[in-house]
Amino acid sequence: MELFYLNQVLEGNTSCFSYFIEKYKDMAFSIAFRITNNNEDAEESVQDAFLKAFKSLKTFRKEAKFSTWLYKIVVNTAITKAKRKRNFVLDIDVGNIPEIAAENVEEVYKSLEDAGRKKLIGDVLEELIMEDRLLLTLYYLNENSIDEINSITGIKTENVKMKLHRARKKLYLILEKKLHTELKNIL
Amino acid sequence: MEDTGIDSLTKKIMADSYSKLNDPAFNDIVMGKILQVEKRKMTARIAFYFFIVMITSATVIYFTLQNLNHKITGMSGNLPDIPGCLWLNTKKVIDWISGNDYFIFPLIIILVFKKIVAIIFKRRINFL
Repeated sequence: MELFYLNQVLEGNTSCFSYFIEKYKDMAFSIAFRITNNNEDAEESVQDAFLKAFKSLKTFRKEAKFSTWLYKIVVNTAITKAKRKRNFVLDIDVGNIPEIAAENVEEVYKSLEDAGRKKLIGDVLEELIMEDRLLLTLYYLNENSIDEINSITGIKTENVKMKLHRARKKLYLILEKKLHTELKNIL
Repeated sequence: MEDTGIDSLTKKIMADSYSKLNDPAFNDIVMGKILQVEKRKMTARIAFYFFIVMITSATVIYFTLQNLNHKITGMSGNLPDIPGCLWLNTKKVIDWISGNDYFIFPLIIILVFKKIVAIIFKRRINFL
């Protein structure tokens, strides 16, 4: 199906490109938002990324996955935008901190209402550095494989695994802290 | 990476973080920009062909005027009338563009230069 629309666009039927916009805009936005941390910048990045993808569609190798190719463009565009704004967050050192057991967090987390959970996870992700947010989004939300993440971000496969592990550790560390505060507030 | 308990919880947490793009006009905006790009590309292409036609016409007219001058000054020999001269000169210019090494050579240089610049800056260059 994707190949059909791709060939249509390449043959000059420009309107067929809207198929790709409709299919990938939300996930592309999610990725861009994790990088820019800002709605407007993320939306602009996704627009620019789609435009770049359209312009260089001829260079796309058809045997590759379109989504991986597009997300790579989204990531690069959003990073360029984020760098201009220079919104840096201090990284957390998780070197000696043991892995937090899922059960410690799971029960309290699941007891929260949907809206509360959404806000909480938004706040937690904001405290992570951009790279961690991006890796977690690609691996856990977008369900990209390690190799695909390597293609999208350019980070070596071994490093992706290590960085993902650290990012997850940081996520739970912040989440546990936040849930603790949340519990205190409720009690 | 194998899917452990913490992995599935992380998947759930990240799923909660998912936010859709809340702009109903998003598709129209992007498609509008794409159409603009297409329009600009078309304009550049038309301008290029117009330029080629202009150069060809100017050369043909120049040669024809020269022929006319020769006719007036009696140096014409067996030159045909003006329409015949126009046709002969058009053929001459077309032959010149399609077959003359002096035209092909700079074209090859431009294409090689374009390729080198594209490799250096790792991006495609669209003249047309």
